[in-house]
Amino acid sequence: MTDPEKLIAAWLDGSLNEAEQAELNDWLKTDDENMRRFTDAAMFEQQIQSATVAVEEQTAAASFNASVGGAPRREFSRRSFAVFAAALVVILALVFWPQHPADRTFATLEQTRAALWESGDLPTADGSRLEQGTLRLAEGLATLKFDSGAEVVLEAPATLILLDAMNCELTRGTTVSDIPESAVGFRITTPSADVVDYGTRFAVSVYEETGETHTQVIEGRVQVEYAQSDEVVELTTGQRNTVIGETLGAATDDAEHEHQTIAVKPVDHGPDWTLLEPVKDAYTGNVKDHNSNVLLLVKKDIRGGRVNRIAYIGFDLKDINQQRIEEAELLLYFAPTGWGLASHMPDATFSVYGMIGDVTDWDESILHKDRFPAALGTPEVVHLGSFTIPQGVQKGRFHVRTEVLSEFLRKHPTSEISLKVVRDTVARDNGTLVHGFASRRHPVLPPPTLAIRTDGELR
Amino acid sequence: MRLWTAAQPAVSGYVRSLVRDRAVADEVLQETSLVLFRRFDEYDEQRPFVAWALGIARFQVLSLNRDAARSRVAFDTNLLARFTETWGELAPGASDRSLFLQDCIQRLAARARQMVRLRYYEELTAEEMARQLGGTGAAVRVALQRIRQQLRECVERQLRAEGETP
Repeated sequence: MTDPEKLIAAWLDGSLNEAEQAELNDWLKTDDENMRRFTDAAMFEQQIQSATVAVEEQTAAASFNASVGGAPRREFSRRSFAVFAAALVVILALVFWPQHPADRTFATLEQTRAALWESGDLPTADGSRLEQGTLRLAEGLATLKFDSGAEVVLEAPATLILLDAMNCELTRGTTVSDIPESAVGFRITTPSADVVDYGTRFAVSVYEETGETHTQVIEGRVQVEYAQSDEVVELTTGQRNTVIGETLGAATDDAEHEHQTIAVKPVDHGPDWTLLEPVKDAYTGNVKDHNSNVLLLVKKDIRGGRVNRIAYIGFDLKDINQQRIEEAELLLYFAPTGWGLASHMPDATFSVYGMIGDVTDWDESILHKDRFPAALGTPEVVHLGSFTIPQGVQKGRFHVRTEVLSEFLRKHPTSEISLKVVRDTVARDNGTLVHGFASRRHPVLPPPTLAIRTDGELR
Repeated sequence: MRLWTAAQPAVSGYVRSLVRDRAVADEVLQETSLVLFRRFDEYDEQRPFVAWALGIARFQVLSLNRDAARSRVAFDTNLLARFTETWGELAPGASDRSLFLQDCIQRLAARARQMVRLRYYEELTAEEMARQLGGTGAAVRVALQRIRQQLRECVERQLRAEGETP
């Protein structure tokens, strides 16, 4: 018998003769596995074909733009026509596609990231069509696309009641909505207000305990309608508003204030505390297409290999009288990264180290490349403290508050200090969870914060 | 409609693998999509949509066979049915490969890349390629087979890397 691999190749080339075709057919009949192998080869061939067309199309488009005319142009037009024809079929189908009679759905659960759902009455699989009902997201992120065109990202913990393609009700948690022209007038009702969008992007958070509604317009214009009267506040790009109980706050331009998504429990940072934001932060161990601009990713790989990710944070204490530091606390705000499997991750311990010696030279752009720059040597470190994130938790504020940290800050020879955050815990398996906490570039979460109490006046 | 958008790549690949002439394949595909939405009320939601769509595409390919010997189906109906069924089973798992293939193609050595272009973009036969490149049709086939193997390894390597390093 001829080598089946050769028969398959000849079939793909269209060069099989009748005897070989018969031989191939016999081989296919003997075993389901043979059929799978053959089908897979045929499928791969088609995938190569479409990928090649895509690649050549890009090249042709590029060279067409560079120099109009020449041979590639003919190919390009012919292909473009095929693409156009295919698009036309889709459009026709769109127009004539019959509505399923029993279809009451009006939104799609497009994508979830590290999502954990509590009981609700809607399906929670990616791609599910959604009708009226309630979604309860305990962990992670979920992206909903309403048929009106509105896109709503739900940030846990959150409860969202879907009413129709233009209306939903947020009773706790945060939504970030992207509203195209087709969905202008999209309305999010909260216990204390109605937020009506007139285009583009905005975030709404509802605090469960108090029903407070916090609205921030990232871009565009929204209207906040007070639930208890017909008062209305209009917000434009960069503005925010809070509705608490009896008061409908005014629109404020407080762009420096972070949009607070969870009612942060009062911290015992009294008036004698100073809160510092980092002057720089970055993480090492970048992997292609798996990066975040806004989160600092932290991971310890099973092999201790190149994808170890370590976060570095730099603070400048120039406004603090270092010798008089009494107490210090580092606060980090974790958020789901969407990468890796939370179920494979046991309780995770993280350690914070202070970097000793002259390491002030690192900058964000260098660090993002690979590992800590060799030019700066392997910096010596001192362990300042640890904290643990329980299994299944990916969001929340964690802190280190130790005497060693205070001492490190007190004794540091210069005002610029560098801290390093590593995860000590290795996941049980591959596909390991990547933790992340908000960097100073995060749009809504607070940056890493160093809270310091001194025994006297600031410098 | 959303279902069809999702199933479309699998169905068009299926039709094109059976119908060599691109224009005819496109016709079949169009006809398939028309039949699909004419008969949408017969679709049983318990079944995967792809399987149903492939079943309809299969009849379109078969009727083409009767019209004229324009397809490369030399299967009997039983074999074609199994091919169709297997395609439906494999399609969902195989879609990830498409993501990496473009990258892998661009990484091919210059000559291999040229062969891929001639074969899959210009759609030349092995003999036509041999005339352009020199050598024989048989040598071109061997080279193409090697390139397929190379692409497969490249894609699988990337899929593995994807699985390991989030």
